[in-house]
Amino acid sequence: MEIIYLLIACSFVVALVFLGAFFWSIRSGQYKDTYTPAVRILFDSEPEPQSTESSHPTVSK
Amino acid sequence: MPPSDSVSAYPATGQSQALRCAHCGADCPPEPVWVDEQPFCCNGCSSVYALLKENKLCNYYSLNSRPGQRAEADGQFDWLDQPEIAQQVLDFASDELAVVRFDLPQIHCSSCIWLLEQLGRLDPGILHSEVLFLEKKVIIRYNPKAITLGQVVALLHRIGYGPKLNLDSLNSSRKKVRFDGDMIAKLGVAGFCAGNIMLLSFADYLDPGRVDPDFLKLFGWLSALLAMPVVFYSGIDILTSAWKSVAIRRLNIDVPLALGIVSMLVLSLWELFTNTGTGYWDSLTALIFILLIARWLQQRNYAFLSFERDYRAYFPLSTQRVDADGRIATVPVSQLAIGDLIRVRNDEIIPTDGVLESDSASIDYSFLTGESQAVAVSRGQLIYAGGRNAGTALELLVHQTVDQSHLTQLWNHPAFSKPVENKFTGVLDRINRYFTPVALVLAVGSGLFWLVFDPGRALHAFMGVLIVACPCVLVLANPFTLGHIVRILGRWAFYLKGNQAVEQLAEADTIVFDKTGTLTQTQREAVKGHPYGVEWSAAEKSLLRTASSQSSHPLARAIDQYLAGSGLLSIDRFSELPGKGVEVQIGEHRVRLGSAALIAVPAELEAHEGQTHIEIDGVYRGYFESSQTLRPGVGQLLDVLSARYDLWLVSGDPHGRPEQWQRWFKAGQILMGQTPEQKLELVARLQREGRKVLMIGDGLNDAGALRQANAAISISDDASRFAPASDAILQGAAFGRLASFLQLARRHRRLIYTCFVFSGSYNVVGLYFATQGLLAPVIAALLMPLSSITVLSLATGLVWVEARRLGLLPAPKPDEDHILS
Repeated sequence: MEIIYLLIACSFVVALVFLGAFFWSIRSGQYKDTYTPAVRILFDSEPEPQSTESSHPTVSK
Repeated sequence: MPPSDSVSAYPATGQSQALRCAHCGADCPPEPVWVDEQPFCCNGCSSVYALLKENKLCNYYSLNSRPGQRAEADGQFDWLDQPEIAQQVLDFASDELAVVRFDLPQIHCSSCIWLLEQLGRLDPGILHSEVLFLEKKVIIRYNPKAITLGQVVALLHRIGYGPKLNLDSLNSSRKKVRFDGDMIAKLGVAGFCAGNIMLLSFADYLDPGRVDPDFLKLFGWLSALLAMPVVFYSGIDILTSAWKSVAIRRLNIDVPLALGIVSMLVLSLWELFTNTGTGYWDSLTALIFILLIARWLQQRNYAFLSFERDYRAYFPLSTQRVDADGRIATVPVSQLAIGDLIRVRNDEIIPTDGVLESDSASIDYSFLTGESQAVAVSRGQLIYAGGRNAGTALELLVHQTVDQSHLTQLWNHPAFSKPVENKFTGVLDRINRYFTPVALVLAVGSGLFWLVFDPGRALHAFMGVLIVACPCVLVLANPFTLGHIVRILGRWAFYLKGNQAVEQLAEADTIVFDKTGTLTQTQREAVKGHPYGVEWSAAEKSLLRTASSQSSHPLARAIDQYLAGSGLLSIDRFSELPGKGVEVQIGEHRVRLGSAALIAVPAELEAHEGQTHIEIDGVYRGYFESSQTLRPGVGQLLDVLSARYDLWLVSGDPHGRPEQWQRWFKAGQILMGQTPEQKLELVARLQREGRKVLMIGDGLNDAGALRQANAAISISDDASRFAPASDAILQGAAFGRLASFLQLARRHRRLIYTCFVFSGSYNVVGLYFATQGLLAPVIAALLMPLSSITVLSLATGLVWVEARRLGLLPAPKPDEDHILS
């Protein structure tokens, strides 16, 4: 049954990775606006004539 | 939305003689810019049109009855470029990059998002723009070397999204951005730890007593480790709030909760260190997690609403100062000094008290007094801040600085600063006042009892009682029920200030309505033409407009606006008959406009107030009717409400017609021509008679009464508008459903009592065992979250059932434009 110590340790590491990902998602502003991105993704992405920046507003930081 | 045919989407402009720009509606210069057989006044407008068309977004024109707006004059926003102003407005500024954030209440649909995020294609100086839909904000990054702040604002104006720039925006943009990432992080940490603790406790749940003690011990310590961030990071707000309330010798709702948390923490640590058990970490963390969910739900829908904004939100940020040499400069109102000469254009707010320097003016004080018709002012008279210029541009000698103006003083009236605490203490606070002492007495009592008779049981009994009695229901059921109610109402565009407002609405037995702008809709151009005989020809319309444009009477102004599409002719003779109307000679035509006292009205027409009759060359040609229209659904609403509530009607308008309202309001309960002070006094008088008064009004002129009332709703057609002193903002479109909203609020108390009875039985059983010191840790650990979850599902379920019964569910989704916009 000693294997359970290893399993618990492993599961904690995995869990902590997800916790870290959660903090990252907060810091990157993914909870700042939970409505607009859902609308934005539906706009047709027609070929951009000039600026590439304005077509990817959510990704750019 | 489907792309529409760009040409048919345009409003017809045929009736006008001068060409109107297809984008902004302004008169075109002699040689307009032609694109697609549409005239445009300038290259700016045509390029916006071209951009929209290219992307099949011409729906934009059919969405909005008054589409693009043109900045009134070039350089109107140049004052924004003054470094000290720009610095206050900008979020961030460097040589290469500036970031600014604007409130745009106009944002209401996906094409708004689309258009605003394409700003970079309208002007290459704008690097990036991003819309926050729910907050109705746009964040713009631009290169200050390529475009100035003033030009950014002018561009927004040109595409119809002129940002609100008022004194408040100067200050608020200095504040830290109000995004509550912290709350989400706390919630996430609590959920993470609670979930892992539950996993660790699972073995013990399933097969209590037979898990290897070594493992149990390990799980206990691991759980303790996981629980620490929950208590001291996620739950710290509860602990500090409870501590603060104890420090001022009051028991708020957080006190019993904090007591429960602390006692569970202490007992769990005690068991762990003394090797007598593994603690109650799962209950502890789950409790905090659920509690945080309740609070988070509570906050969620309110990002873009502001209830207690002050007069600064209402003032314009800038005004036009006429300098000694006659030059006009746009300056911030905060820089105005006594003795400055300022120019206020049509439809602008008077920023500060001043003496009129122009010959005459008409000022609309409806915001201050409720009086719907403009007041004529002549040279040398004092004009108060907060009025709106209803006539042509006027000049004003500044008499007071903005800080000392009439409006500011009105705002500072004691009635406005009455503290909210006195108004209401919730049912729960009352129960809570007894609950916590009783629980403490029980806990200490049973602890002491067993200390004497069986010391081994004493600690278990003491802690067990505290844990079982921990007011989960008290703390959780109420915010969940209320939060659910508030959320359902919010989907109907009835925004409550907080959960407490539900209780306040439920208690009301008397409703006082404001008339203007509440039961009736204030429409600036609510004039309708009614031709008599045949339709007016274009030539006749020009005659009428020319005649009405000569008078400064508010009705004439409104008619002038109504006929704005027609051309102006030169007049030969003009005479105004005060109180009756005007008589104008235009070429060989003689036009008379006025009341029935001036003009003979054909017998079959029923002449009444609010009509302006027309006679051209001695022939009766119909009338203009200006009336305040009832909001949709008001009739049925009042039918329902009058059965249950005592209804009062107050109006600042002296000329309202009481007989129109007698069906719903008892004689003597319709009061016309009331000042804000009288309204306040009426509410106070009703309260002295022991009634709970719900005041429904709009705007600042009702603010005193709104504040005085036990509950206050302000009606607004724009959720971001000024809503002083109210507990709720109701959007005009949803007004007809008010009766159902109030009904749902009234049901709330019954729902809570149901939950209490339910969980009370839990607690009685639990306490029966706990006081005897018989409550095994495992049972306590199971009983606690089970009780919370049952009560929560019960609370939400009951609200759902009630809302469905009242027809409030299914509610419109938040993106359905007709409700939100």
